[in-house]
Amino acid sequence: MKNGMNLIKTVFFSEILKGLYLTFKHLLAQRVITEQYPREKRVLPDGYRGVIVHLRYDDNTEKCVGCALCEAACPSHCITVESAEREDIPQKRYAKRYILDVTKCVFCGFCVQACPVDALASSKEYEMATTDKRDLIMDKEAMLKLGDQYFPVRAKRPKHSQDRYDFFKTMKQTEFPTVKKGAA
Amino acid sequence: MNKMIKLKINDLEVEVEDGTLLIEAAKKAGVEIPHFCYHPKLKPDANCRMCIVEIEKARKLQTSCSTPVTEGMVVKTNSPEVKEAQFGVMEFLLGNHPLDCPECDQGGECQLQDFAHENSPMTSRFVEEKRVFEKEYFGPLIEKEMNRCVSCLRCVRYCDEVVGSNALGSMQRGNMHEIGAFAHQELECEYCGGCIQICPVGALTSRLSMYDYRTWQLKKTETICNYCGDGCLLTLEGVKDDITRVSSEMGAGRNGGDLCARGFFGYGMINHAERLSRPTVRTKGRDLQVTWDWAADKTASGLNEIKAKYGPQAIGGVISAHCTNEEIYLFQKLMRQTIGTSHIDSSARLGHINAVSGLVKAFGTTRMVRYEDILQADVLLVFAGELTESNPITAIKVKEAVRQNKAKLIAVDSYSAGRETYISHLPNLATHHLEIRPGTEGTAILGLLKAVAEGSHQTSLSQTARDKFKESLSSVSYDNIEAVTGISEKTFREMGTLYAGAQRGVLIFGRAITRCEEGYQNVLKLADLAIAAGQAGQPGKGLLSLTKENNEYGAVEMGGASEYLPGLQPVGAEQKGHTLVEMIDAAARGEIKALYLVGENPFRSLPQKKVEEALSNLELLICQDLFPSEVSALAHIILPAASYAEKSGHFTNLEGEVQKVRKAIEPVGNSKPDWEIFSLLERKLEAELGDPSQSQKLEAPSVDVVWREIVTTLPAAWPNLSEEKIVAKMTAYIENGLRSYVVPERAREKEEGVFDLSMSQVLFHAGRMSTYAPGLTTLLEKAVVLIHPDDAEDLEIQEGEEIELKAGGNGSGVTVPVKFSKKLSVGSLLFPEHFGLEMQALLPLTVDPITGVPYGDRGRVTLAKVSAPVS
Ligand code: SF4
Ligand code: SF4
Ligand code: SF4
Ligand code: SF4
Ligand code: SF4
Ligand code: FES
Repeated sequence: MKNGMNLIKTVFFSEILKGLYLTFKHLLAQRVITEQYPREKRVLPDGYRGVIVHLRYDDNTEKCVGCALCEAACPSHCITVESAEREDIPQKRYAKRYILDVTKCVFCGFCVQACPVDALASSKEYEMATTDKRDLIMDKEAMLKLGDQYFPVRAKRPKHSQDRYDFFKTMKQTEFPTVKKGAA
Repeated sequence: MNKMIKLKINDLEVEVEDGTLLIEAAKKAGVEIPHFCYHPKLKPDANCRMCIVEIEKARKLQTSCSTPVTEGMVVKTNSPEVKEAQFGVMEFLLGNHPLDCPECDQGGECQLQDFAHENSPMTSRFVEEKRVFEKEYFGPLIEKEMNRCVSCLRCVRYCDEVVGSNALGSMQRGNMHEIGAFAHQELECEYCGGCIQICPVGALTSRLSMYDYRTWQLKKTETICNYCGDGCLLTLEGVKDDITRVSSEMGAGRNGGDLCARGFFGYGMINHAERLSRPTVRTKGRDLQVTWDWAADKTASGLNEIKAKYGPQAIGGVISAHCTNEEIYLFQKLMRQTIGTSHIDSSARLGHINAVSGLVKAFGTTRMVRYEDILQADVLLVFAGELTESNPITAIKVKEAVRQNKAKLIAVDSYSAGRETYISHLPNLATHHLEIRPGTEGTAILGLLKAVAEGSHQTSLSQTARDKFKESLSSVSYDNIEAVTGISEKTFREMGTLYAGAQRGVLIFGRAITRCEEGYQNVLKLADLAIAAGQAGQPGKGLLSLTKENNEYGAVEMGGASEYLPGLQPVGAEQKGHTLVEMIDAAARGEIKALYLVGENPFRSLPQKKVEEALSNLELLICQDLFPSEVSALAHIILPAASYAEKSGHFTNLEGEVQKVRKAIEPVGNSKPDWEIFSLLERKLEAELGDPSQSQKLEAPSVDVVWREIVTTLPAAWPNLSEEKIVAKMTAYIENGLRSYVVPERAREKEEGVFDLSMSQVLFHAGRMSTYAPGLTTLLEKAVVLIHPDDAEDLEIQEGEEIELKAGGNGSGVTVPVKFSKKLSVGSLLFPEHFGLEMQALLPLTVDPITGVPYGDRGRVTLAKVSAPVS
C-alpha cells in the first residue's frame, strides 16, 4: 500500500509540484524580501557581535587598564596589549599599545567577557570591506573612535577607582621615580 | 637521621622525620594547606591564622605552620569547622583588599588569588569602606602598595633572618598595619629583591619591570648569573625576546633561591640598546658593517697573514672570564692548536690565578670548601671585609653560619666596624674583628701563623714540620708585626688558638689577598697557616678563594692561562707564553702584531697610555665584545658577541661547581655566541690552510659536543681530588717547601692629608657590564669616592661635594663627588672600580714576579676640595 502511494507520487512529480507551488506563492505575493543594501540597512538584533571596540567613562577617560586578559582569552590571538605605567598618573596601568587584528578576529566576543572593567564591547559595525588589509589592523584610538560612535552613553567610573584616581592626580610627577629599560 | 613519625592527615598515612612541621608533613602527603606567613626559608611566625587545622584531642584548631608532628597525630584539614574558620580569615583579609588583580603585577601567581578561589565564602559581610594608604615610595626599584598587604611579615622576616639587612619594619596596628622602612624613610638596603620574591601578594613588586608583563606571558629559563663567582641559579623571564624579570626558585641552586641586587635587578644589560649588533670591519678609517661570513674570512686571512709574515708567536689572545667553559676551551684550542701561539690568557690573570697557583702548589687542587662547609664550620677566618659587596651569597652563607649556627667569625680587613655602618657589613657581624692597616694583610697572616706555630694545639703535622714552621718564624717579631698591622700580639695569639682549635675551620679570602701586592706569596702564607693549624686536608676544612667574575674558576681550568693547559696541567717552562701584561708589553715593543681580545679590556686593568700605545702598534686588533669600549674604538675588526642569556654552556662557580647555562632568548641583533664565533673561525682558518675537509664542515658543532670533548680531554681525576691525594701533596709541600718570612721593616707612618685609596667593588655593580643595567645604575649611577665622615668633617667637605684627588701631590688630578660611608676606616678612601678610567692613573702598578698579576688597586693620594655642594 505504502509502496503504491510512493510510486504514484513519483510518477506525478508530486515533490516538484510542491516546490513549484512554494516558488509561485512567493513570486506572486506582494512582499519584497530582498534588502536594498547599501541603500537600506537591516535592523540588527541586540547581542549582535560586530567589530570589537573600546569604551570610555563619562569623564572621557578610557576604561581599559591594560591587563591583557582579553589577549589571553582570545582564541585566534588577534589582540596584542602592551601595558605600562601612565606617565602622568603614578601607579596607573594602561594599555600603551593595543592592537586588534580584525582580519583574524572571529567575533566570538570572548574578549568582551574576559574584560574585568567592561572596557570592550561588540559594536554593530560590520562594514569593514576594504582594499587594503592594513586598514583592518586597528589600534586603540581607532577602537575608541568606533566605540564613541556606537556607545554614546557612557558609564560612571566606580567609586573606589575614582578615589584612587583623584588621589594620584594630586601627586606631583617628580614625586615618583620611574626607571625603565634603555634609559641608561 | 632523626626518628620517623607516623601520622594521619585526612585519612592518609604519612611518615615524616621528627620535628617536621605539620604543614610540611601535609605537603608530603599531597595535601596543600592554605597559608600566607609560612615559608620554608623562615622560622614559623603563625601570624596569619590561615593554616588552621583540626587535630584530634586538641581543644581548639591549631596553626599547622607552627605545630610539629607527634606520633599518632590525626589531622583533618578539610572538616567543616576548619573550612568555616578559614573562610573567616579569608573574609577578614579580603575585607580590605582592593579589587586590583587586573592591574596588579602579581595577578596570576598570587597566593591570595589562589587561596581565595578555594577557600573563600565568595560573598562578604563587610559594608565598610576599604582602607586606603597614602602612597609611599620605597626607592626607585621596589614598588610598595600597602593596600594589598596581608600583613604576613614574610618580607620583614626574610630581610632580618636571611639577608640580615634589617631594612624593613612593621608599623601601626590592626587595620592600618603596614610595612615600611624606618620612620617612613626611603628604603636603604641591599636591594636583593628577596622581599619582592617572598611577598605572597602584590604588595611588594619590582618597579623596574612594573606593568611590563603578565605572569602568563613569561617564558622562563633557568640559568646561571653572570655577575659574580657565587654562581646563583636564576630564572630569566621574558616576554618574547625581551627579558623583563628575574626570579629564583626557592631552595634551588647553590644559592637556595636567594639573589643579590645584581642578579635580581641587573638583567637590563641583556636587551640594552647600545649592544654591538653587527660584525664590523674597519678599513681606511671607515666602518663597514659586514656579514658574519665576510668578517670571519677577513679575521682568518688577517691572522694567517700575520702568521705567515711573523710566525704564530706574533699573535696573542685574551678572553674574559665571563665566557663559558666551552668558549674558553675553544678559544685556547684555537690559539694553541689552530694558530699555534702560546700567548693565551684570560681575565683570571687579574687575581684568581694567584689563588690557583698557590693552592695548587700546596694542595694540588682548588676544590676544598663548599657552601655546606661554611654552614657547618665552627670557626670562619675571613680575609675579605667587602664580602657582602663582592660575593653576596657567600656572605649570606657566612651570616647564616654565624647567626644560626653560632660559628665564630674572625674577620681580618681594613674596614671599620661599628653600629653606625650598615648592618650587613661583614666586620659588624664578626665575633672577632681585626682591623688592620690597609695593605698589611701579609703581615697579619704572619702574626696568625706565628701564633699557630708556637701554639700547643694538636695537629697531625709531623714534629719536624712544626719545628720548621717555628724556626722560619723565629726571626719574625710581634713588635714588628704590631707596628705594621696595628694589632697586638695578644689578639694574634687568641685568634691563632681559636682558629687552630676549631673542629672545622674554613678560611675565606678575597681580593685583598688575590688582587693586591704580594698576592701569590700571601696565598701561600694562608696555605701555610691552614696547614699549620690543621685546618686543611680533611672534609669540611680548607680554603676558599672568592672569585670576582663568574667563571674565573673555569677560565683557568679550561686552559685560559698561559701556564695551564685544560685541567690545570702545567705548560712546560720553555713553552709558556706571555701573560696579559707581557702581551701588552710585547705589543708595545712590536713583537706581538695581532691581538684577539674577547670581552677583555686591558684599559681597565693596566695603565691606559701604555695600552693605547701597544694597541695602536698592532697590525691586527680583533675585538669581540658586547658593548663598545676603548678597545673597539681602536679595533680593526669588531665581532659582536652574545650575552649569557643568549647561549648555552657551563660556568664554574667559586666552589668549583660546574653549572649549566641555558639559552633564554635568541642572540640580540646580529650577534653570535662566542663559541660559535670560535668554531666558525677555526673552520675558516683550517680551510685557508688548505685542509679541504674542514671547509665541508659548515655547521657549527653544538655546545654539547664541545662539552663532551672537554670532559674526555681533561684528566680523569677532574674535577675532584681524593682526600689522600690532597694530604700527600700537602705533606710533600711542607717537607720540600723552603720558607722564609719577612716583615716589612717599617710601618708606614700616617702622613697628614694623605689617604689610602683603594679600588673596590660595590654591591650594586660588577665589572663594567652592570653599568649598562638601568636597574643598577639607579642605585649607583656615577663615580663617587667614599670617605669616612670624620675625615670629611676635618676637611669640611659635605656629601655630594666634589674633591680633587692627586697622586703624590703633583700631576693632574681627578675630580669626583664624595659620598660618606662609615664602613671605611679613617684615613682611607674607596672608589668603585666600575666607573671612569682616570682614577687608575693615580694608582701605581706593580706586577707579581711569579704569577704576572698586575696590582693596581691601591695607592696613596692627597685630596682637595674643589666646589660648593651641588644640590
Ligand atoms: S571577538 Fe574573539 S576572536 Fe575577536 S578579538 Fe575578541 S576574543 Fe579575539
Ligand atoms: S580591554 Fe579589558 S581585558 Fe583587555 S587589556 Fe583592557 S582592561 Fe584588560
Ligand atoms: S595581590 Fe593578588 S589578590 Fe591582590 S590585587 Fe594583586 S593579584 Fe589580586
Ligand atoms: S608586604 Fe607582602 S610579605 Fe610583607 S607583610 Fe605585606 S603581604 Fe607580607
Ligand atoms: S651577582 Fe653573584 S651573588 Fe649576585 S645573583 Fe649573581 S651570582 Fe648571585
Ligand atoms: S601560615 Fe600558619 S599562621 Fe600563617
